[in-house]
Amino acid sequence: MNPRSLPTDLRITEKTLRRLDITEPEPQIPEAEDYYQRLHDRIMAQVEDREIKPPPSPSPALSPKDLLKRHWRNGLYLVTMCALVAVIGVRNIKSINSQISENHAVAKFKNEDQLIGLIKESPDVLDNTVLSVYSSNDVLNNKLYSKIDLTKELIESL
Amino acid sequence: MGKELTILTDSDLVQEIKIGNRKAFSEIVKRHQKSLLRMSLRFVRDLDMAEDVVQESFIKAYEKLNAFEGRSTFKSWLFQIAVNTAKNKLRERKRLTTDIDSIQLAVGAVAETSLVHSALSQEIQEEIDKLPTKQRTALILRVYEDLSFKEIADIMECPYDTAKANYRHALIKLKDSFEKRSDLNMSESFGGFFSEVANYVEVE
Repeated sequence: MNPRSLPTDLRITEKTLRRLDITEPEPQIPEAEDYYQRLHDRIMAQVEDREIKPPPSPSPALSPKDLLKRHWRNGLYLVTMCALVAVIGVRNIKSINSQISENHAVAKFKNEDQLIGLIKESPDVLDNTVLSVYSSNDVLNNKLYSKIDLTKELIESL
Repeated sequence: MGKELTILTDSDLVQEIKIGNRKAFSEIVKRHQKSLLRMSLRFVRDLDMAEDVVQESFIKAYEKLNAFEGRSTFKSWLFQIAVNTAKNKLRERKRLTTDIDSIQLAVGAVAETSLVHSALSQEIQEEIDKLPTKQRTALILRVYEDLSFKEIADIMECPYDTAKANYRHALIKLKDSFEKRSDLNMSESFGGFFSEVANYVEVE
């Protein structure tokens, strides 16, 4: 970051910290060469007994959990989860819708079956039914007509 | 083996160490021990503990040298190990001690301005210690180690922008703290240090 890109107040804070460190360096670290030579020797003495470990084995393919964790680190975890929930939700709604339409089709079929049975038995019932949206002509014009085993007598009776 | 190690880069030295040249590691230690000690001391605030951090960091670096892939500089990788080691040490210390004793002020025959700055240093250090670890790390590495944000991001194992954001948030918190002190008229008692710095920045 270019210090100039900081607002003035933050630049003052930055300068304060730096300047304070120059005027009163804190904490003080040893400057003597001997001190660092001793530190170096201690480190090298410990390294003498150690071996470089073999290279780590190539990491296996990332599990979905690890992938989610990565997303989490990048702040995308929530987005991913929301997208996942949305996809699952849409799929569920779709299946519910198709279930409902299937049920309707079955209900419709059953009703039409019943209706045809009714027409077969007494054709004028349907025409006289106030609430019915069907008339016997509707049924006859309906494509279900082809499926109805209409006997000659029945046609004549209609 | 007869190469002049001092002229080699860190990457070259790493290759030498990998083929069994321990003198190359000695050169690495000589190169980085001081900066590593200074940085560790910023974190742990105790010279003995900082020495331990430095030693442990070099040993870990040696053992895990094959894990260094060269994606960042060797110095950044080493600092990353040291920062993590220092954090672990601090956690350990927090567990073991309930009372964190403050650092003693050197009184004696120190000049008044020096005393003022010492007191101020301590006040600010206390504020820095209060910062969340990530912000403190970014601040220490930037202000006191003068590292670039690329290096800080490598050390903190975070994206570049996150390193910058942590630094910025640290500065904002410290600024607020400075302002509070100013409200309490403490800047005057500190010899007008803050206004002095403000002028200095404006002149620049």
